[in-house]
Amino acid sequence: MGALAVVGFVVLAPFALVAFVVAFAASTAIGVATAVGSPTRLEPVAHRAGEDPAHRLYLAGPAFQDVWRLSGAAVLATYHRLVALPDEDLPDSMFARMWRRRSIRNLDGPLVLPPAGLAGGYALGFLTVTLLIAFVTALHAVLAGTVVLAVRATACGLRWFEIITLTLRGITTECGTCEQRARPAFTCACGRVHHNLVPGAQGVFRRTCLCGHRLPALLLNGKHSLPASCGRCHSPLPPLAQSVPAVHLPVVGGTTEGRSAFLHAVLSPRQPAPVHRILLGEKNSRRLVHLYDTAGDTFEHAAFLGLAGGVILVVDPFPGPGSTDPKLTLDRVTESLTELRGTAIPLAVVITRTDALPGTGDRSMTIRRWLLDHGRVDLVNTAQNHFTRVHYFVAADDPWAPVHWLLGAFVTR
Amino acid sequence: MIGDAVICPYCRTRCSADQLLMSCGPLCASAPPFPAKTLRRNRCPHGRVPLARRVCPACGRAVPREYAEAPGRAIVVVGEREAGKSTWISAAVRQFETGEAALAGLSLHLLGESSRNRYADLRTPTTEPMLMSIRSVSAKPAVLALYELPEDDCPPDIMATAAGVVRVIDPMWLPGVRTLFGLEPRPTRPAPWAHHVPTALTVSKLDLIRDMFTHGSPLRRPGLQDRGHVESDSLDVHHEVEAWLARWGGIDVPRDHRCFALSAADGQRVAEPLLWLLSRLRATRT
Amino acid sequence: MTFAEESYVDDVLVPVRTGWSPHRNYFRVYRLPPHPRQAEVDAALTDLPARWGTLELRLHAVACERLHACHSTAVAVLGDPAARTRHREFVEQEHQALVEVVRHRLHGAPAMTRDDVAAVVRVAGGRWSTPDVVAALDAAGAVVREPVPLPRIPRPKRWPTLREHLADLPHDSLWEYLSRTAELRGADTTPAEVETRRQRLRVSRDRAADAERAVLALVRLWAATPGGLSAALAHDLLAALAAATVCGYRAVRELATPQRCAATLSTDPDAVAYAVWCAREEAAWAETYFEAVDAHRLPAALDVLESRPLPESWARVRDGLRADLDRLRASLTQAREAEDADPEDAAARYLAIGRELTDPAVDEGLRRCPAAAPPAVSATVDGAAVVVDWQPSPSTAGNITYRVCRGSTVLSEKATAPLVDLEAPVGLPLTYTVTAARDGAPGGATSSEPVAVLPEVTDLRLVTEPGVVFGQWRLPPGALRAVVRRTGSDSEVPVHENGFTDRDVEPWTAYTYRVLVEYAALRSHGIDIPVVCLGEPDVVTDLLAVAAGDVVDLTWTPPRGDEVEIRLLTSPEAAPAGVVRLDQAAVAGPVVATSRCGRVRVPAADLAGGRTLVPVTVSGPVATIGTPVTVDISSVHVTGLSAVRLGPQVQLSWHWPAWAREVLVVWRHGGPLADPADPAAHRWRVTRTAYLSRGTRLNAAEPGSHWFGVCVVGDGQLGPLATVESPCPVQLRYRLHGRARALAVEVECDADLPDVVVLGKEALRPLAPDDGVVLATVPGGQRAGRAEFTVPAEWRGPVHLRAFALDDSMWVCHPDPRDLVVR
Repeated sequence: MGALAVVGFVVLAPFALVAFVVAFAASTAIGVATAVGSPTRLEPVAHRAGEDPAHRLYLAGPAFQDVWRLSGAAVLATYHRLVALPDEDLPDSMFARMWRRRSIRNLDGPLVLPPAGLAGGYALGFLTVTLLIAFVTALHAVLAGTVVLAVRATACGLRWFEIITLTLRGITTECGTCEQRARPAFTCACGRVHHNLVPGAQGVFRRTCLCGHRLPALLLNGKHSLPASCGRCHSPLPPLAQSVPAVHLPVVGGTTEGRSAFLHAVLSPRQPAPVHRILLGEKNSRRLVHLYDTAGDTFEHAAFLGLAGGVILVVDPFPGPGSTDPKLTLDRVTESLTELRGTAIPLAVVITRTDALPGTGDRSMTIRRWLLDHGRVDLVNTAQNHFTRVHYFVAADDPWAPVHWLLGAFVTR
Repeated sequence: MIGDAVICPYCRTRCSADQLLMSCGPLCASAPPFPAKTLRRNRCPHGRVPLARRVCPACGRAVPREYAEAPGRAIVVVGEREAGKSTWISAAVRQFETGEAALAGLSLHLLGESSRNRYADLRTPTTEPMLMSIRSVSAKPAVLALYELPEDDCPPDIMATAAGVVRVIDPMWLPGVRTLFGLEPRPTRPAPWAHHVPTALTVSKLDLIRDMFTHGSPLRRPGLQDRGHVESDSLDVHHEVEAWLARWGGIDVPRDHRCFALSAADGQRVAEPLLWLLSRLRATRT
Repeated sequence: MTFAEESYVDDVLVPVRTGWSPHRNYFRVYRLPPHPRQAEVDAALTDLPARWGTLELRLHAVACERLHACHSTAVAVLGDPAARTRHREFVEQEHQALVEVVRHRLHGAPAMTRDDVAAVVRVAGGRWSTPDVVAALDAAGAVVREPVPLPRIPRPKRWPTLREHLADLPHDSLWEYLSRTAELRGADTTPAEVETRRQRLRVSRDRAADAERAVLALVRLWAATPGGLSAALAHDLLAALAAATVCGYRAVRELATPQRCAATLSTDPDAVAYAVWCAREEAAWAETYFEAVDAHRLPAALDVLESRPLPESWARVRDGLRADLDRLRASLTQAREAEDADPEDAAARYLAIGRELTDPAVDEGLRRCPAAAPPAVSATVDGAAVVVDWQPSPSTAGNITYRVCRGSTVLSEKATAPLVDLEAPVGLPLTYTVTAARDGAPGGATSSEPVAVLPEVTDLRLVTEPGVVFGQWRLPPGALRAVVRRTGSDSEVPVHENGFTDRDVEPWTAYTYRVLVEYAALRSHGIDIPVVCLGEPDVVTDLLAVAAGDVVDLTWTPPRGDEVEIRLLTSPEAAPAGVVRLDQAAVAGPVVATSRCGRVRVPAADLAGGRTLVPVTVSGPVATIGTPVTVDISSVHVTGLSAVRLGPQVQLSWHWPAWAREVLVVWRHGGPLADPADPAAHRWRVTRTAYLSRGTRLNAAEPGSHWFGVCVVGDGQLGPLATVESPCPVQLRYRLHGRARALAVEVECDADLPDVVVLGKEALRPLAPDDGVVLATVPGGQRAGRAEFTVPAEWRGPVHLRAFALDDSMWVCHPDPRDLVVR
């Protein structure tokens, strides 16, 4: 019997060797081909649902995954090519072809040996290739993993860098419509909205929108020039919202005519709107000032008061029959402010329609004295007892003065 | 501060400030109210800005934040009918708006629309409080819930939570004054409750009896309210009115009290009882 | 046999005298029974003739003669028994025949009247005599009896309708109905019971119920008068009884039930029945007689009575009637004679006769004496009605009524003066005629003068504009057109339907227009209406407005125009110049006053703070705006300035005039203020809002008199100064020194001190110099003083100390209260 085995082995060996070589070569070729031709042959790395409509950065994640996928695919391909059992649905592997070619099943006795040897050879070759693939995969994985980690860390760091920079500069994105701080969303030229345009899994310095356009992910890169909108309510944000600190100033009190007259003077003719945005200052002390024209008597739903950095109170010293008492308006504003954020902010009191005041001395004090003389001591006391700093202005003098003062007070805090 | 007990001015239940309920904003559709302590970074459980309104968990009425944080104290104004309680309250509030208290730099703010409506209609008898905060530049704001109650019908739960009492006395009902004017004496009723809190015994309608006092009497002088609460003048009035009350009779005097006399019609010494109570309340707190 | 002479006269002699033959009954003549003995016969035969010669009987000569003549025959008959028997049978036959006749005549009645007996005797023509009839009655079981007189019951009102309605009811008579119906009580039925029964009947609707309701109505009518119902029932009874007489007395007697008779007539039904029975032939013609008498047709009544034989009572009635008739005829003749001389008197007589007698002669007589016409009739037009008045006719006799006609239309038959005719046709001449009538017979008539109702136009208005006058009116119905004339011009102003337009007028000239209405035949009087034609309004250039107190006085020279409106100038740029339409001029501002006389006073409150006024002259629909002017407030000053001392301060109060926003308060110590610029005085400006919010208090603590003044600051100048003084009492100051209970008091004063005491009291402050224990006394006299004292140790603290001056006018300034209390 031993002789028979040896003879059998000798007879088998060349077949097995040939098969091994063939299998190894074939599978290596397949593996390499798969690895090289991957971007075009495997499906593109589409974005998952819930993410921004941009392609995911390959090196930020898919690279690492691809290693596993590739090796898996290679092993599977090799298996299918070499040793897969016959299956009607799949193309025949070499072993399956051999199995089918002649009625191997009809063979018996020593005639089984050559095909068995071939099959064994196929299997051995497959296993070897698999091990080789595993080894290569491990190396590959280490490399890819390192790269992916590095990319991710850079993105994270850049993200934090941006956040810290914005915080240091005091730039907070506040949406005027939903009156709260909101994350800005940026719109690509194709119309797709990217809610989270920061360095991350979709790009470190830039990302690729689904349309193919490359968008900058950092303000330094030019993100500030993209059209921004509020992440919640989708109303547009002013273009400089990302680069300039915002100051929110409600304008309360007086009649609608009085307030709009004041805003008229400040803003030059404009449509009456709930919020007006203007850019004041130069260079580093630029501020994006939001002026809220608050009509009405109640401020319960004026959530922007929570963002207020100062208040402008318009006072009509000779109110007509239909207008509200300025002290009452101030009381209501301070109540709402107390509920939201407290009244530790500066207050600018603007008087409309006065007679000529003597022009000497401290203008604010003169106006204050004039108010006291005309019986508005309650207004003066309320102002000084609630707000940190109070200054008095006359609308006719210089309509910009209250805003400038408030900005100054705001900045020096 | 946050954990201090807040007594709801409307239903007088005690709770702490972070048990007050807040509602979500308009963007969170119809969510139930949640207690203030579940605020996370001033955001509602859905992460949005809540409505700027805190309500009492028992009665559902809005409690102003100033009142909850101060916290507010209840001051009860009692007196017989037509003793001048409503007149005094409106005169006292006016003093802070345009009178001498205003000259002292004090400002009075009515908290909430219900208090403003109550001030507009003081004549209607009700147990609704009038919430007000009195501020000055230097001191912390004092927040009061003012209840105006008739002497014979004081709800005991309000009396139990009162931090101070202003008892308005109509001099025309005191036996001594009535005999001077030749009127029939009225049966006096004893006060139905014992004062255990600072009580300001206030003689109203001083303009009717001012001629009784000599030139040197402090009741002939206007007050010094443009300097706030001045102790020497207050003591002067206190001794004088105490002696007169003892002479006229008809009033049993509680332990912790001070006497005042004022004329709401003339605006004389109107804000003094309130200023004294404020100073007493501040003294007990700090 | 006793011989009764009276009876012999009645039984024999009188009938013999009146025609009865003695041969007919010898038994009676000779007083013999029907079967006499011979002896009796003989006695009678001899006795009686002797009697005929006695004194009493001799009077009846004729009868005795006849008796004597028949005596021989009588002897022959009576002497012979056979003849006697034959005579007796003959008498018996006659008697029986008479009994039959009498029975027949009685017809069941129990008696006959004497008249009836006499009638029987008369009709028999001598065959029987009265005793025979009486004997026959006796044999028939009846007597001679006179009936009870029945009351004459007049027929109740509406009696025939009762019979008709009773026919529908199951009752035969009213009595039966009243007795048998449940709620009614026969003759005692009261109207209340009738009503009850009527209520019960309400629900029924058939013929019987309708009839019963009618009957009840009649019953109620009769029961309304006392005794009326029983009278009706009595009449009913009598009628029923009279109707029953045709069936014989028995029927009558049955009908006359005791209750019925008792309730209505009398308690004796027999008497009632008998009375009705006896009156049976009389009933028919008596009814006719009564009807004629009721209708005053006396001749007819007399005919009824004269056409038949009458009993005694009736004969009397007949005679009386005849006498009345003669009397009336005589007065008729008198009246006719009086017609020519005094028609009124004649008419009065005729009327009097007419009340008793119905005679065409009376009517003709009245016709010949008509009522005189009213002397005068006047018709006056009052607005749209005509009042017709007349004086009463001089006729007085009878009922004088007046009939008023308008032309041929009768307005009223029984008019009283004055009569208002509200439907007089418009525009036509009308004549009113008043005719006097006496008792309905028309008499003389008088007519009024012709009048006409000519109403004028209504709602007449003239409106004038510059150069033209418009008139408007409303034509009354029935008018053709209106005619307008202007005084001073002869021609008529052309008119159209409801007005006129006259352009031929000069501005500012007064005209008077007369507007009258033209009707078909006449024209109305017309209404005069004056008007001044407007021209273009003149501009007012000299308006002056001066504020004084709470009013503003405006004066100007009145321009030519309708009126001047003073407007508050609110939009000066919009006011157009020249003569413009009224609505264009209204743009200048609202009106605060209007006037025609050149002056007006406007309350300052109406101007609501505005100070510029502009006069607008209005003339019809156009206006012209004059020169605006600002109200002059230079003389405005405050009023009611008063000072009240409050300790060391004085509170000033005053009344702010309109437009004043700021005043200057001036005060000085020691002397009165001359003018605001007084160098010794202090000045202070107070705004209105500051005053309203805080008031004005000034320190005035120095002893002595202080003077205060207030003047209005406006238009750069000061107004007049109002002043008031307020003295400051002398001040007395003291201080207490020392420690614990050993104290000293130091007093000083601006003037000489009065006596000062220091009082102490436990627990409470002393309020008066007697309210406590005197601990120290500082005598007066100088400017300062001092005293030392101790508070007793037994006093429990806190002890209040206080100093009092025994002079009330002093002002004691006490130290700090804490210094006055000792623990």
